[in-house]
Amino acid sequence: MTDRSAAGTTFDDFVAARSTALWRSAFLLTGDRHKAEDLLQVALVKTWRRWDRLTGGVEPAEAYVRRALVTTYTDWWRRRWRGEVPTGELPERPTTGRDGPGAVDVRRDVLTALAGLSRGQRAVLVLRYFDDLTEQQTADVLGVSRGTVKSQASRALAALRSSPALTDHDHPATEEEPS
Amino acid sequence: MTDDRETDQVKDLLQRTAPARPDLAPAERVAAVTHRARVVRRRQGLAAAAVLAVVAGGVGWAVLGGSDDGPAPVAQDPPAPAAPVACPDPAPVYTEVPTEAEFPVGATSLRLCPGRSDAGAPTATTQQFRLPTEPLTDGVDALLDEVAAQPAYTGSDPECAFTTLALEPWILVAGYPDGSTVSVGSGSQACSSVTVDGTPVDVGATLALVGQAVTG
Repeated sequence: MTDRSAAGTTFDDFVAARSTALWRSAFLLTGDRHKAEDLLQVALVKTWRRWDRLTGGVEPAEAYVRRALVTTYTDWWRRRWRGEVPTGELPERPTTGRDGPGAVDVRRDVLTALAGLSRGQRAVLVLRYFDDLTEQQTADVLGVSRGTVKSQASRALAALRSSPALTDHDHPATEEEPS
Repeated sequence: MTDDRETDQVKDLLQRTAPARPDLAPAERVAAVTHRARVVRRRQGLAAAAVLAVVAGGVGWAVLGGSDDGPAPVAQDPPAPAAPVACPDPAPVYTEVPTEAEFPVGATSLRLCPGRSDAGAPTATTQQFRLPTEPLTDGVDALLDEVAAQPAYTGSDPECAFTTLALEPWILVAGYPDGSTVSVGSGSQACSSVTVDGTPVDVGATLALVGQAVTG
């Protein structure tokens, strides 16, 4: 797989450099390590098929993978995971040193709160506040208008603000925002 | 509370929620992506070959029909679609069901079925079986593509180390137009794998995938 390249970067190098960050985004979208790996691999297979046509360096390639991640996530949500319901009692995994103490509690509570969002809100939240994309970049990835991104982000933040799962954490403000 | 502070708090929570690292190293992921791409390409190639064979057969038929050696053959109705595959009766003992299978392209139906825990046990009934047993007749090949293209099972889920698994035998049966079937199954519904088209896949994820397709 190393013989294909986009603007001089091999696919292997791209995966080595960027796939941990992409997997973390996929985890926040799916809330599950296995599904995150599955989602990322499907997105990477789609990307690999177009690798020789992705010109301009790593950034366009990463934008393509992010778009594939989100569209696949949305598609799977419809076809595969719609039976899932949010739960406040997600199975706990042993805390590992790499995640730090208390990470399991935070993870459980944030995932519970994220499960209460619509898939569009969740995707916007991950792209804007985890991947640190601008509103316009988020809109481009999702194929929606910038206004839609703003309204989805606003609703997502409001939902997190009122989520009971996050009452014990430093979470978004509960008081009125200044106008 | 400013918008900036709220934004920072959300960013911090998301950073703390996403695990630091995935289970797979990048090199393993590249290998997995390569494998999945090959599986999809191989199955697509087989499907294309099957279409070509049908077209070639049609051309041959047309050439023969246009000859002067006799009357042109009368077109026959296409064969009636095969009935959806049935569950084996009696349900087989799970140890006798293959845990590896190659599903040729062209399956027309698919069904999840109960198995038995041992030869002396009463046959499991669909009432006792918690998975959906309705047949799937649309998009069977595409679903089998998805099953085979799942990430290779690594057995690294630490939750499985603390789980006592119940014996819940199941069989996935694919039916073909000629009446033949291909099956794969297991005695458990989690924390183990079956091998589909050369890929060891997680049974829990596989059953969820098939179950959602059946009930969807």
